[in-house]
Parts: sequence; C-alpha cells; structure tokens
Amino acid sequence: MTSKRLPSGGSVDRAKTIRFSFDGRSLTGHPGDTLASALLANGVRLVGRSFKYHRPRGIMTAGPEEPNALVELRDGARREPNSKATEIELHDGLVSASQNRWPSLSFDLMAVNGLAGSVFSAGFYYKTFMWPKSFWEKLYEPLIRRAAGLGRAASEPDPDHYEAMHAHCDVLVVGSGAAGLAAARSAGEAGARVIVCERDFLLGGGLLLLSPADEAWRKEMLASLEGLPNVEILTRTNVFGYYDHNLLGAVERVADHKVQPDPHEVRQRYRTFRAKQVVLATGASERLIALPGNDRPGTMMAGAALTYLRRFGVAPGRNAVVFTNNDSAYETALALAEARTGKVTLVDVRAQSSLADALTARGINVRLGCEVTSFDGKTAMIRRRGGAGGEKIVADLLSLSGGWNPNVQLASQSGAKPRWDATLASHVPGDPVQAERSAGAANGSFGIGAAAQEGAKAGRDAAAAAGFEKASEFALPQPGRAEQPIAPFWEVEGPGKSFVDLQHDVTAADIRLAHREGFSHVEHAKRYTTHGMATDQGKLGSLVGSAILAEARGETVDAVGVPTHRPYTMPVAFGALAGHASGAHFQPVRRTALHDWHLRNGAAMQPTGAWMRPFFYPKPGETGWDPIFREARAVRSSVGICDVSTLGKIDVQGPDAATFLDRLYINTFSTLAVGKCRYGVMLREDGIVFDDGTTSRLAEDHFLVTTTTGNAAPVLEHMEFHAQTVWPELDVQFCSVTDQWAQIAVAGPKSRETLAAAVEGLDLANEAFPFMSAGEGKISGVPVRLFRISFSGELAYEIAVPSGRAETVWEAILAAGKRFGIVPYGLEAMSLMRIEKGHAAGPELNGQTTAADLGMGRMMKKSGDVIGRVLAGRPGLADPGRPRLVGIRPVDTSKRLRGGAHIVREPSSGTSMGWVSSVTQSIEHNCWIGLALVENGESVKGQRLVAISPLHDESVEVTITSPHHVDPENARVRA
Amino acid sequence: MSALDRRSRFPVSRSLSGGRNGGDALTITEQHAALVQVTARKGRQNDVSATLSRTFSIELPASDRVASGSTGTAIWVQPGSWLIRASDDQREELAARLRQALDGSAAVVDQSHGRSVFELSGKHAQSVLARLCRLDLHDRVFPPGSSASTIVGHVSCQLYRNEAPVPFFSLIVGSTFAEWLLDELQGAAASHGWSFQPAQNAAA
Repeated sequence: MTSKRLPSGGSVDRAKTIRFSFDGRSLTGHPGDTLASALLANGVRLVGRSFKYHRPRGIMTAGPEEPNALVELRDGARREPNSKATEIELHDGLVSASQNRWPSLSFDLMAVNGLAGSVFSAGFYYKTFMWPKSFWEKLYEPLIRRAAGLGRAASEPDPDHYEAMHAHCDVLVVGSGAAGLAAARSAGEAGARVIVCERDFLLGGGLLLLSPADEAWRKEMLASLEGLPNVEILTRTNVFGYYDHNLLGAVERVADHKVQPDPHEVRQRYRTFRAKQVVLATGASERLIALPGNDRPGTMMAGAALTYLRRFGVAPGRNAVVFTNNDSAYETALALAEARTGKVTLVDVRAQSSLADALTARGINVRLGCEVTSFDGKTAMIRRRGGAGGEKIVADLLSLSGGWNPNVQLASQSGAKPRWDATLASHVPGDPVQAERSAGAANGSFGIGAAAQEGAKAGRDAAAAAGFEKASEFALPQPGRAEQPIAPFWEVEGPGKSFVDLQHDVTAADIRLAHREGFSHVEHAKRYTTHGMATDQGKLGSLVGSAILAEARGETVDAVGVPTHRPYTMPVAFGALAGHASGAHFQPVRRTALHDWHLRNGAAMQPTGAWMRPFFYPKPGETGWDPIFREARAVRSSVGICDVSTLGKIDVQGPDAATFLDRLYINTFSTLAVGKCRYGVMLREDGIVFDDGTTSRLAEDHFLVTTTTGNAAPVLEHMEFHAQTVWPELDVQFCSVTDQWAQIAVAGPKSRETLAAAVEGLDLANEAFPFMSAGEGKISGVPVRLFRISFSGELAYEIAVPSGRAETVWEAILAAGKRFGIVPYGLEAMSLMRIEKGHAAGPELNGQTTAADLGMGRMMKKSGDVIGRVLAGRPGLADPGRPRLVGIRPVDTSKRLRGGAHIVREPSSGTSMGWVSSVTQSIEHNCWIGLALVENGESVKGQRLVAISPLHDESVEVTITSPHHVDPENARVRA
Repeated sequence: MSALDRRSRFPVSRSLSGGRNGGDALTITEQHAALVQVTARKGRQNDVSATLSRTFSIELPASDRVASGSTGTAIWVQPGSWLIRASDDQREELAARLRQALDGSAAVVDQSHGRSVFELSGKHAQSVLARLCRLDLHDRVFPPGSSASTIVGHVSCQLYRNEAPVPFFSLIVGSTFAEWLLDELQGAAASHGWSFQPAQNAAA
C-alpha cells in the first residue's frame, strides 16, 4: 500500500514516527496526526461498515461530524467503542479496530441487507417486528442488535480515574479559531478572567489550514495570550452543553492521547463553567449534497480534504472531482492541484464563477453549471444541470461542499432560536437570551479577516459587559475579498441510494417516505427515519434532510426548520460525568468517634445510610447468628455496651424552647422537669408519624432532642422551616450536636453496678436517678452526660461524651464491667432486642403509619395545636380498623418468619389483613418472633392467622400477640 | 503513647504524603481548636456583639466573612450565629467563659469535638478545592477574610480564607465526616501532590 503522505507541509512532525495498529495491522504515523489522518496516509480507504445496510465506508470528514470512521479504541478493560477516528490524537501503542463488520471489514455477510434495501426503509422495525409480541425479546431484538451493533463496550470495570472540576470566569470563549483567539485577547487585555476551550489538541481552528501569514498571526496571538495570567487556555476540551444561568459543561480529554494515563492522572475531566459572559466561536460545519453513491469510500467533504492536505500533509485521493455550490471548495481544488497527485475536476452548480479562470490556469478542469449524478468510488458521472446523459470521469475522490452551517448548537441550547439567513442558505444564531454572543463562522461571518474582527469586538463587548472596559489594540488579518453568493443546492435525484445521514443510513427516499406516511413535521420525520439521531447529530445532513422534506411539503426550508439542538454536542463518557464519585467515593461515609476501636476489635462493619456501624463482633469459630445471640444474651443476662453515636442530637435553647417543642411533638415538654427525659413523637404536617426519640431537659431553657439516625437532618430542617417561617416570633436557638457527642449505651441488669464503678459525681441509685433521668458526671475525669433510657428493654443508660474523648470513656466502662463479663454489642443484637421489646423503628416508622397505628395514640395531648394534629384527624387516618402494630409468633416454633409476608385469615384467602414489618429470632422465646401491622389489630390479638410469603412459597400459622414480646409491664427498665 | 491518648482523629496508618509530586502542591493540616457556636437570642445581637468586642476583643463579622481578634476568630455561620474559634488550649473553658460573659444573651454550644478543622495551604489549594466545591474562590472574589457555608466533597462545610502570602484556607467539617473529607481532599489533590500533618500528639 503506497503512502499518501505529501513530502512537506502541515502540522505533523515527519522526523518522528508513531506506531499504532488498526484491525491488527501495524502502521505508522507522526506526531500531530489524528487516527484518521494516519489511516489515510497509510492508504486505508475502508474504515467501517454502515449501521443498517453494512455498506463499506471511508473517512468522510476531519472532525466531530464524522459519520463513518467509528472505531473501537484500546482493548481489555479500556476498550471504548464508537470513537471517531477523526477525533483521536495518534499516539504510540494506540490499538484500534473497525466495528460493525462480521466476520471481517472487507467481507461482510450482513451487506446482503443493502441488496434488500427497499425492505429496510424508514420505520421498517416499527412496521415489521410487531408480532408475535414474545418474538421481540427472544428473536428480533438479538438479531437486530447483532446486525446493527456499534462496537462493543468493555466488560470489565474501567481501571482509569475521572474527576470533576468547577470554574468561574468573566468571559468564556468556546473555540480558538481566528474569532476565538481575537475574542480571548481583547477580553483578556481588558482585564477580564478569561477561559478558552478548544476541542482540538492544537489551537487555531481554521488558521491551521491557511497561509504562512496566518500562521505568523496565530503564533503571535498565542504568545500574547500566554503572557496574560488572567487567561486560561484548555485544549482537548469540548464544551458539550449550554444550560441556564450561563452554566456550561465540558469534558477535557486529559489522557486520551496516551495508552494509559500517567500515575495519578485522570483520563478525562468533567468541567463546569459559570461564566458572566460567553463568546461562542465554534466555527461552521460543511454540509453534504445528496446524490446516489455519496457514501462510497472516497467521498469526502471538501473542507475535510483541505484539512488533510494542509494540516496533515496527506493526499486524500489521486484523481479528484470537487462538487460544490459555493466558493469555499475552490480552495480544496487548488490544494489538490498543488499536491500533484492526479487530475482535478471542479464541478460547480453555478453557471458563473470569478475564480474559474484562476483554477483553469493551474490545470484544473472547471465545469460550471454542472452536477455530479453518481459516484461509485472509481468514477463520477457528471452532466449539465438538469440535462440528460452524462460524462464519466475517473476519480477515486469525490469532494463535496453543499455550503457551510454555522455551528449554532450551543447558542441554540442557550435559548437563542436560530434565525434563517437566506444569503448563506443556513441558520445563524438568533437573538441572545442569556449573556452570550457568537462570532466568526459560528455567526455566519466567514473568512479569517472577518472572523478575527468580529471576534475582537465580541471579546471587547463581553469584557465590558462583565465590567472590564480597558481598550486594547492588536493587529488583525486583512479581510478577504467578497465571495460570490452560494446557490442553495441540496440533492441530485437519481437511481440508487442518496444519503442524508450516513451514520444511521437514512436516505433522501426515507425522508420522502416519512412525509408520505404523515410524519411531515421535522421532529416527527427525525424520529421516524432516525435522521440526525446518531452520534454526529446530523451535522452533515440535517439541513439537507429538511430541504428535501420542504420540497416534499411544498414549502421553504426556512418554514420546515431543523430539529431542536440539545446537549450533548459530542458524545460524553459516563465515567467523565460520574467523575471521582464512583465506587467507594460514591457517597459520603460517616464514622463515629469509636470507629477505629470497632475496627481494632474485629467488628463486622456495614454501611447503614451514610454511617459505618458495627453489626456484630464475631469471635473465632462463630458463624451465622452466633455472635448476635451471644451479644444479646449478655445484655439480657448481665451487661453490654454499644456505640449509639449515630442518633441525631439537637441542642435547643431559648426562653421559648419548651413552647417550640410543644408545637413540634404530639406530647408535652413544657411540663418536663429539669433533669428528666421524655419519649416524644413528631408528626408530619399530614398527620403521619415523622420521627421519635427522647428529649431531655438540661435547664429551664435548654433541651437536648434526640432523633432517629436516619432522620437527624430532616428533623433539623423541619425545625428550621417552622422557626423561620411559621413561628418567627419564638425566641429559640438550635443546632446539631450529633458530632460533638459520642453516645454509648450501657444496658443489662448489671449496667448500674458497672457504671457505679466508673462514674464520679452522680448517684446512680434507683431512687436518686430513676428511669428517665438525665444528669452529669465524670468518667476517667471526662465530663459526661448520663441518661437513664432504654432501647433494649433492660435496665440501661446512655452516656454522652465529647467525641474526642470517646475511647477513653468507652475503655473505662469496659474495664468497670469486666467482672460482669461486659460485651460490646452491635446493631444486629440491638435490633433483635428492640423487636423483642416491641419498639417501633424504621420498618414501622415507614411514612404510612399514624401514632395510633403504633399504639401511641394516647400520647396526643388533649389541647394545644401541634404539627400534624389537624390532618391526623382525617377519617381515613382516624379509622379504628387501620392496620395496627401487633406481635406475631409462629404456632409451630420451628418455623421461620419472613419480613414482608402478608397476614391473611386462610392460606387460600386473597385478602391481605396487613404485613409483617420486622422479624428476628428471639433469645427469650427460642423461636422466630415478629412485629406486624394488622387491620383491627387490637381485636385479633390472641387469634391464629397465617403469615404468607408467596415470594418464598411459605405459609406459617402465627398467633397475634402484644408487640411487647419481652417484659410487657416494663418492669426491667425501672429496676 | 497509647492509642487512647492520640490526638488525631485519624488512624496512624494514614499516609503522610501522596499524589504525583508528593507534598509541595498542597499541605493538609489537621488542627485541634476550641470551637463554640454562639447564636444571639431574639433581638440581642447588639448585646452579643458588644460583649464579644469588650470581653474577647472579637468584632463579629458580617455575613460571609470572618474576623480575627486577639483571643480568637469569629466565623459567620448563619443569621445571628457565629462560630468562635480559639486555640486548642482553650477547649476546656471557652464555652463556659462565653456563656458567663454573654449572660443569657445568646445560646452557647460547644462544638470543639463536633467539628474538625483542616487547614489547606499551597499553590494548588484553589485548584484542589475547585474539584470539590462549586464556589468561586479566585483572589478577586474570595479574598482573605471571606467565608462560606458550602458543600465541599459532598458534605456541609464552613470554608474561609486566611491572611497569608500563599493561598491558605480553613475548612471546618462535622467530625464524623472528617475522614471522608480527608479522603476527598487527597483524591482531589492526587494529580498535584499532597502532604498531610495529623494533629500533634500533645497531651490532652
């Protein structure tokens, strides 16, 4: 295969060689190449098969609009499908493979789809694979997926790292062509904080294609920008979306040009920009002309051919036909002629051109008023416009230019409705809705001189709008001569497939079919044909499709319009959006002050919400429930110690603190004596139970509220809301002290004796410190708060200690309890004991239950308003038949119970009376026990019902009991 | 020294430096401090302000600011509420002293154990924070003396900028989130490099 690399020219370093592979073949390129330019330089003409018809395809473009050259990049865990070869910076060791071909690229069995092309028309899948329904999953979908695959994703976890980064600036400039560089410099020299984002790895955009004078200006601009500390330039950074409040999103491809990132380097960085002003200098994209065979390998956009010649020093073909309706492709013809690789023919649909003579003088065959009627990869047929017959021209390159579309995507996303410009036969950005302006080709101002001038003004205006008015002067390139107007031209009709969307294989005929079948709105036609829905988002042919639709509808292109532009302007990897927040970094982790102790002492730690908590402390040889039973038995028979620091704690102070709590809780706190605790229940506004916990009165105007672990933040928010908006007259101050105090539960009949040996300064005798008392003392010299409260149902205390001293106090209690065989117990033993005791917890406080449902209806105070009182009185919530908290035990004590089982009268009954909310194996009863919510719970107590779990195919006869499986008289806690 | 008496919140096993270039780019220092939240009672803000100025030489700052006096720093945290930060040796008595001086004009709540303090310094401090926080911390927008209650590394933090020739920030976070935040800081600093100084193992 002969090299297509030209002997000189372009921004590639011919002195250095890069080795890479494509479909297993070892090839070489140079620094400065893209994968696409290197493939072309190596004479690779065929790079992929099309999506639907499996037609052979070659490289069509030199940018993100590429529809054909989609490759799988890298291998193993780093394999990435659907990468555009035109956007991949060539690097040593790059491994790439064509995709969507089976069994091989040059011989594709699926190409038979192309022969049956008339069958696979628009809407084919909708119409065909309708019946029978079960065939969809089993037969059709796997077949279609095989036929229409777009590469294979990696099946292993991504070994690379990603991160997010957030920036603010006065002026964000998107694009670094003549307009972008001029905008950045004028804004930067005015003193504004400027960020420039360039998608490419080289700065300069269209400046990279032109004359030495332009190159000198580009270098001068870059040098001056580098000298401005307030200007930051980001290359390889594509801005993908423009959102409200001038927020823009981008992905920086930090290490995609390496086989793998350097140590500590991310592969991609997700960036957000909050810009006071935005300058969109995103350039323009060339559009194709629909004609039979306009997808054959060898078809290439004229601007892309110019890019390969001028920037990469690669000849895209030998004998070329350039087909155009505007002046821009003349430059391509000249560049092709300069490369001297073969004959160049320029076919212009316009009858006249002022440039024709200059081209003819360079030996180019100029055919005015003509059109190309077909291309097969080897020859192009041309004829006089609308005439008959034709002339065959040998050409391996058909270069197309149907005109240029300003890249209005970001402006359009920002809310500016694109405006039709008849002289350009394209859309330009509409009036700004947000603080943005477009400049250069993106604004329909073509040519380096015009773009630079407009860019400089846009930068100056943006900086001034952001408050930076300092003027600056710098030289700009001369404006070019006036161009001859474009002749709007969309399609050459003829036999064969004329593509408007190459990536999704949508033809001009499909667009007409959509119209005939009633999908005439451009958004409907888009979805019916999938035109413009591929990863190139219709950049090449969206407008051409609209023009064909317009003709079918008998309207103007302007009236038909193009589909709405939405993010993303280019495909974005999920990894980049997730950033650092994946795996162990997915959500915050909270550790109690005793976390380290738990780890050192062999706790089995588990996440519960954000918290890491010890579930149990297994000893060697223990399996299954063993450690849980051992820990719970120790508490019930002697003493145990548990880290309960995760409970929410809120310090409430102020002259109106008691009033505030009276309004939040269904029971009363103003009557609570100093030094006492009380259990309280809080409702939501709608009357459903919100949270529960004990509240202690530390002083006349000082309370300590505890919440459940999960509701700590919501309860604080609930308080803030009511204090700020509902009762602003109350003098009350509160803040979270959850992290200030570590909390340690000491429970069991020996807990008093244990603590008596550890605590100084507080008499723990039953009379002096009865159940529901709060007091202060010292343990190991550390000031602590003590509360005589119990969750296990045993005699128990909780000790609050400043969290930095938690280990000292914990160890002191362990030492004091040693003679009673004190054991640390985890969440599982705690849960076992609370179910035995019949305390409601998360599964019962489930956002559906009322205080009465949980047997706490009598706690509601007789008078005074309280959050939730009114709506708790609604008939549905006051209905005595509602499911009520009860206990259940299996009649056959060998049977296990299941959480989530339904309670029914008979196994065959189709009517559920309620559900099982919590289950455990009981150490007091030596069988499974549970809590359930059962309709008319009070009246079915003592009855035998059935707990049925269809999920497990189990049905267990149960006795309905009081929820208090242990010590229903509550004597132990008062002992 | 036994594990019980260690001053740092973090396990001894934690690395003291990491990332691409080691510790030059960012230094993360764990600080012990006396921290007390003072919230004025309704209508008593002027009294609180006067007392703190007179007794503690602290001028209470406006919203989103910090102010330092001879005995400590006041950090605005929410309307009518400040966090008073003083040196570690005042941990035991600061809350009591404030409570006595303020004499019922404010709710005084000790948070010395409820908050952990990190200090971040080095030329890449802003760049590292830009990965964890969405605020604009540029010199022009967030000069020394600026403060914000914001989200850093997905958790609520108080972030303020100190007077110093190189970027130097204090980051105050709920102590149960401290290890998470340290992980986030070190992850965000990995491409630059970081060093970590745990709180000194001085006697309590």
